[in-house]
Amino acid sequence: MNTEGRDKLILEPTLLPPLPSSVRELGGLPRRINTDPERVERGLAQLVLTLIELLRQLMERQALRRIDRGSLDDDEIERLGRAFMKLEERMIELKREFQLEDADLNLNLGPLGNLLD
Amino acid sequence: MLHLYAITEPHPTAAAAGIGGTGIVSIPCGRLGLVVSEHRTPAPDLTEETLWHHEAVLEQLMAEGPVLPIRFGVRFADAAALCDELRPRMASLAEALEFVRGKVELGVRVLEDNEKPPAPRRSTRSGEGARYLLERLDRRNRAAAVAERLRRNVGDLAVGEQARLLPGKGTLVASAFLVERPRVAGFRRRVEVLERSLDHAALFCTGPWPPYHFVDRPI
Amino acid sequence: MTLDLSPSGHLPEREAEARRELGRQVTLVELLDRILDKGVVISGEITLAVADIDLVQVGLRAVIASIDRLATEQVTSG
Repeated sequence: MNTEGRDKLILEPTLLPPLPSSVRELGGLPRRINTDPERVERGLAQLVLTLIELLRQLMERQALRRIDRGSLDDDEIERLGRAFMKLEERMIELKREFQLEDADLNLNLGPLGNLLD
Repeated sequence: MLHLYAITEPHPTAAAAGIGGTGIVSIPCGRLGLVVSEHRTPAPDLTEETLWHHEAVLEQLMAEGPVLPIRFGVRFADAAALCDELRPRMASLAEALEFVRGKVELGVRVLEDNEKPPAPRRSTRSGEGARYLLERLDRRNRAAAVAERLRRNVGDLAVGEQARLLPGKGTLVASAFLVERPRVAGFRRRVEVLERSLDHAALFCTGPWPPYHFVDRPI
Repeated sequence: MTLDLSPSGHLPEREAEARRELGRQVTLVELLDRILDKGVVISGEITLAVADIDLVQVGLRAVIASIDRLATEQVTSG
């Protein structure tokens, strides 16, 4: 039985530019919340950071929409951008502290799909 | 304990060995067949090998008729309990099964070139905050544009589409299409033309897959 | 560096292997995305998922870790 799965690839690019080499970067595979009591702290951090990430995405989407519409002036764009950059740095620190990866910051809601999709 | 693979029509299956070499059985349940393999506890581990094995079973089932794949990891102790669990959904599952008859799922994933993102518009803005946001805006617009081109390119060949923008850092678009079997070759030709015309992106097409993205009957 | 597979280009073995590996990784991501995240959900799974959370988490980490090892051992193009 073929377990390599290579035969599922029916088209690949002819010109191959430099691409991310890590599967994790490609996928964004979500996890369920960790409910193991011994790792409750990490499970809570996972939940909290997931919610922060949800808010961040919503805010970013809103900001980008307004930039696209032209309803933010240069100064506002610059300040918003710096705020998002700071948030991103803080999130990277927090993820590192709790040993969480991007893929961990998602919630699988069963039949409803993923929270952050 | 029973490890579940798929929901099919109620008929015996000729599918070969399940994970760990166990036998595969189709349990009739009303208008459905529940395809399972039986294991002692602990249940099959989650490894690359068991996942591909699970997938291989699904492909054998697809050769026998329509298949609704079940998420990996569903375990039940008791076939009767499983069937009772599904009874309220019997009609909609049977409809979904009928809808995917003769069709397969094809995946298209467009990866982003990580070396040189095109310069954001309004690049005269020098502030780093503005640059940060404008790069993200451009990336989002590029992803939406690729998804739209893909949709226009192959849309008429598919009876269903599920597109996701920016699902992960390296990916612009990940789309799933439900395609009738005779149209797969034509689909591939169309996507190949699109692939050649993409800038700063690499398009991969995979499949045929069981209809993972299309197990809910469209309203 | 861009890999050109047009007929006139002769592709060294190193780059051919990197290309094959990328194809394998994309295929694996496509599989994982479907088999772990899509398809019919049956409530027995949710009960078992909570009970077996360690199994799923640890098992998945083993999959990801082994793929990462593979990726970092790879000759990357460029």
